[in-house]
Amino acid sequence: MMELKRYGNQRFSLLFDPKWLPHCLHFLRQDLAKQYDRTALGILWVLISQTINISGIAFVFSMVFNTELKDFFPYLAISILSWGLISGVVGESPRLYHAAGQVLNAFPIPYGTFALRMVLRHFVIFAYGLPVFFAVALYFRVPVFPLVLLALPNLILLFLLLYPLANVLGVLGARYRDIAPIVGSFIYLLFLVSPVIYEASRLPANGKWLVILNPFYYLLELVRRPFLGQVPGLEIYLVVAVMIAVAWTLSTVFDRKYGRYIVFWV
Amino acid sequence: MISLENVTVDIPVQIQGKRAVLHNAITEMVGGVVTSRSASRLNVRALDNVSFTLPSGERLGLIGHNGAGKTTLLKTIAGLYPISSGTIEVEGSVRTFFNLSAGLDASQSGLKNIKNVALFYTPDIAEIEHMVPEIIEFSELGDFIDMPVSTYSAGMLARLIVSIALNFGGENLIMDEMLGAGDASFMKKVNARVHKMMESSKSLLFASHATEIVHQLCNKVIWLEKGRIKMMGDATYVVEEFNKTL
Repeated sequence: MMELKRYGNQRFSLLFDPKWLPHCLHFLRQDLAKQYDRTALGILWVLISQTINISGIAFVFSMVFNTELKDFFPYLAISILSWGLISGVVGESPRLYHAAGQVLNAFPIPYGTFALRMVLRHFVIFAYGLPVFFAVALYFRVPVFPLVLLALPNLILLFLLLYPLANVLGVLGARYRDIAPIVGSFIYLLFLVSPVIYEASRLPANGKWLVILNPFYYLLELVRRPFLGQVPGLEIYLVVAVMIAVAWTLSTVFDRKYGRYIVFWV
Repeated sequence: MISLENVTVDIPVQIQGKRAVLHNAITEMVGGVVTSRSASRLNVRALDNVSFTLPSGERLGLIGHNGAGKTTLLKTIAGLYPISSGTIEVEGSVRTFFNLSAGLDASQSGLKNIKNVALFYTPDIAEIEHMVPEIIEFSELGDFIDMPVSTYSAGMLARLIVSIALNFGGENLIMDEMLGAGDASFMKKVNARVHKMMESSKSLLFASHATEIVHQLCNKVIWLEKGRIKMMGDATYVVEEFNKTL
């Protein structure tokens, strides 16, 4: 006997029945294909655009910063790819449930499928850009092995943060339509302010707060250090662990308090 | 079996501007009762203390004027809307038929859309692959199934979405005004398939403005008005009483 108790919000949970995973993977493939549908090169455009992007910034800013290309280029490559992953999820999350309005009003499918599809799509796009980094790392003989293997568990940690975060921003964005443009307008500023193009070590002492108080700094370090053959500092893992705990807590609270209203807000 | 006990559903409506005027307008429009006000939000009581039991094997029709709460009731039973108070018990799987074109992507082919929309009905990909040829055949779209849906006429689109929906039976069918567009011969096929689905289902909940269809398909009918059950009983009797008010 399936009993629906008060508030009937059992479908609003990030921990949904695994039988919906093939559904998520199907739409993940389709979302990726659609992004580059009817283009000549399909998803290879990710590689091409990242190559042009990263190379252009590397050449210009290595001159501006007066730094060696062999140190700067690999760092920049993985930083831009990592930033693309993190900011992609953060930027798209406030609109997560908007496009799903019709479906949410017609089918009782778990809400978590939307967050999972979107977050995984950004991880796949990140993976497609990695050959650019590895080509640069190979050319400049960056000793990526064996510490690059640490990237996998670190990326899993990042997923454990981004998945509930997508949901939190999605709920806020569904209720307050201003969240999406606010987040969108800050993403560009955060790109310049966060240590993506520049190394945090270059900041003077009175500027360190820009990284210490910047959550993106910790996420960038978590992802990029293993690729550069280094281990992120313990403080990185500690802060990320706290961020993960906060994200899951907020997500669960939003789930209980507001999840049932999403169908009305979108 | 579907059983509701003292189910109340309040729907929040965000408001801006002249609240008093909007308050009256909403009350008129939705036929529901506006229950509480805060600075920027109204709660519309879409269902008020609704209780009934639909035993296995019964066909229950829902009739009422616009805004009476028919769709809200169906969506609440389906688990789409939250219950403000009361309980619902449902035995067996629930198959919902609301907006049949939900999940449709006009830029993709009919075939891709079959798989996409089907994945909202059931997560079982093997079951869907098995059904695809049957859905294509039922739709009679032929080679058009490989063309983007944006090239379809309204009739072809209706065939596609109804064909997908009618291939998914279930123990409890919840239908909201789903039977509609299509030419006469296709509608005959649709009706036959709907009857077949109903034979293999446990219960049917069917809301419609077309009281003749409700009378044909259902043995019991509930007449909803302003979120409350005005009358419940034998289909012929309730439909007759409702028609007297038209």
